[in-house]
Parts: sequence; structure tokens; C-alpha cells
Amino acid sequence: MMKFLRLPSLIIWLTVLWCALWVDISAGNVVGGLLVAMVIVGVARPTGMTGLERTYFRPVSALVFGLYFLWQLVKANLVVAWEIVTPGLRINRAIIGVPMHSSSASVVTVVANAVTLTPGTVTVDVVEESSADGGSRVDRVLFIHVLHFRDVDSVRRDVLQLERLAIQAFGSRDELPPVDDELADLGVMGVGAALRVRSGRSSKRSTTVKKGSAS
Amino acid sequence: MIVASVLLLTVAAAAFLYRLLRGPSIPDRVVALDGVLSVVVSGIIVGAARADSGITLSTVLVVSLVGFVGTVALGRFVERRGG
Amino acid sequence: MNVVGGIFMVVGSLLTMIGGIGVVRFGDLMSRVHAAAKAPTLGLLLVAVGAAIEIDSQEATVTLVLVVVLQLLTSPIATHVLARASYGQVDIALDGDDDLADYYASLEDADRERGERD
Repeated sequence: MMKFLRLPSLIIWLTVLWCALWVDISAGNVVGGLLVAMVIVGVARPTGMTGLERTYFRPVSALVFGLYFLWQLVKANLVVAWEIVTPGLRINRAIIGVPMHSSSASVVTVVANAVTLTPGTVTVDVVEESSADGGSRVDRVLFIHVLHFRDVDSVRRDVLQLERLAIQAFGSRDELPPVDDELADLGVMGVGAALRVRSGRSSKRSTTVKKGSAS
Repeated sequence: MIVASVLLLTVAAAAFLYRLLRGPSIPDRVVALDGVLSVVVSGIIVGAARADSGITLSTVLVVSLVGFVGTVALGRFVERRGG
Repeated sequence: MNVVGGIFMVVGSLLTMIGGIGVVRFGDLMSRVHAAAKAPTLGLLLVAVGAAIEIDSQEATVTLVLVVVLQLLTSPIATHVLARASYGQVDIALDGDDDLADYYASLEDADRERGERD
């Protein structure tokens, strides 16, 4: 499990982009990129980054997330193309609210973006609610416009799969158990967990920290 | 092959332009503009493939990013002033 | 090599064209958003893959990878901003539930209760 510091990661990412734009990995270019990145970050002061916050990034899980996401994109296009090309519309539109279990803004953002590119769904709104007991925990609900709506459970299943993979890749592992529990209620196993079981590795059971009110 | 791609992209652009002119509300037109943008980006890439050189591809980055900012700006405009 | 790259480009352009037809054919805003968000994005990805195969240079491939990554990152955001902005303004035809309207209605009820209590 890797934890990274947020601001230096941003500077490194900007430097990588700089080198990619110039298609040049010579030492001079990298140094120039670092300078430009630091100037930009100093001038622009991105919100929420005061330097020493931690962010999570697990490359293997991120790769799994990326591949799943690409596959969903292809499936989405097949569905939409089929709908467009065949005569007669079979659409059943609805807007469904799906509560998110993660408390990290980056994970919810990643999931909201990924949901837009999955079959038949587009994120319409993300609603934040500070929790009622005065804690700092923020609950977010994704409102999703669905094109072929069958039932709420299938929508929740798809979104929670994405959330599970996103937490695996970009969030802290403590937040996995509630997602797993809800997935089990809906009758599926998360994609990441299924891969791990198939490869023989047992899934780590992290200790759950009870956060405030009992669920 | 290239000719076929260009023909298909032209039809796509025509379709988006139709929606741009007809769309009864502003968000319809913004959606159409976003589509025209994708067609332009694809067109430049196909052109680069025809010329067999990667020099013109820097323009694609600029078009794509400016288009994104433009679409977001139009979205905020719709939020404030109505469709 | 030529043929494979060409096929990718033709399929990508075909997908973009299908997206365009969808935007013309669908009757309401959100369906058009669905068509315009997904089809041209994948079409662009395929065209980029085809061009990268056809132009066999390192510079072109790196730039194309950058374009695709940026497009995949920014296209959903633009779509979402537009969808959220137009939710309250344009009449979105729905066949089923509308949880968002229920949520806003519940917010209004809570505000009204709080106003009556004060």
C-alpha cells in the first residue's frame, strides 16, 4: 500500500506531462519541467493541497480499474450504437440516487467520472451532506440518469463495483467493508475481490473502525 | 481507408451541425458543439496519418483542451442564465 | 501495418458518425447527452490508435497517448457539468422515477418546517 504526499505528486505529474508534451526526456528538459511545475503550483495554489496531505495510489489496482473502465466504455458504446442504429426506441429513462460509502472527495470524483462512461448511465448531480451528528464525515449521493432502467439494484450494483475498484486504487482500505457488505446484499462479489480469490490470494480483512453512530 | 474515414467524419459533422441549428434549447446546442469538437480532433488526427507525420498533432492538444474549457464555461452559463 | 491502422481509423470514424446520428435521432436532451458523451470519445480513441499504428514514429505515439488520456479525463467532466446545469432548466423527459426531484422536494419541505418552527 503506497501513500503519497499530495503536492509533490502534483509537481511530479506536471513534470511528466511537460516531458510528454515536448517528447524529450533529456536531463535539461526534466529540470526545466520541474521548474515550470513549481512555478505553476506556486502561482495557481490548487485548492485543497497544503503540501503534506496523504493520498493513496496503488499502481496494480489502478491498472485493474483502468482496464475495467475501458471495457465498460466499449460496452457502453456497443449499447448506445445498437440503440441508435436499430429502429424503435427501447429507452426507459430514470434518475436514481446511489449513496456513496467513501468519504474521500477524490474517490467520489473518480467514480462520478467513470459512471458517465459506463453503459447507459450519466452522472447528473453529486449531493453532499454533512453528517447530522456534527462529525466531519461528509456523505455524498450520486444522482445518475439511466437510459435503460430495469431496477434500482442493478444500477447500484454497477456503481458499487466501480466504487470498490476506485477505493482499491485511490482510497484507504478501511472503507472497503461497507461497500463489500452492500455488494453482498445485492448478491455479487466485487470485481477486485473476485480476481483475488481466483488468483489464490486470500483477501485481507482489515479491522473496521466504528465511526460514530452505530449502523 | 483515409477517404472512408474522412467521409464518415463529414457525415458526423453534418449531423452535429443539424442539431446545432435545430436544437430547441441551449444545452442541445452545447452537446452538438462538443460533438463537433470531437469530429475536428479526429479529423486532424486522420490528416496527420495521411501526411504520415506527427508534427501537426500538437494542435490536437490545444483544440481538445480549449474545447473542454469552452464546454464547461457554456455549462456554467446555462446554470446561471437558463436554457 | 497500413491496413490495420486504416481499419481502426474507419471504425473510429464510424462510431463518431453513429454518435452524430444519435444526437439527431434522440428526442430529448439527456439521451442526446448519452450519445454525445460516449460514442465520440471511443471513436477518438480508436482513431488515435489507428493513427499511431500508421505513423510509426515515437513522437506521434507519445502525443497521441497524451491526447487520449486528456480526452478521457476531461470529456466526462464536461458532460456532467452540462447535465447538471441543464437539469433544472430544461424539461427532461423521464419514463420512470426521478430521485433528484424527490431529494430537492424533501429539502424544500425541511426548509419549510424549519421556517414554521422559527
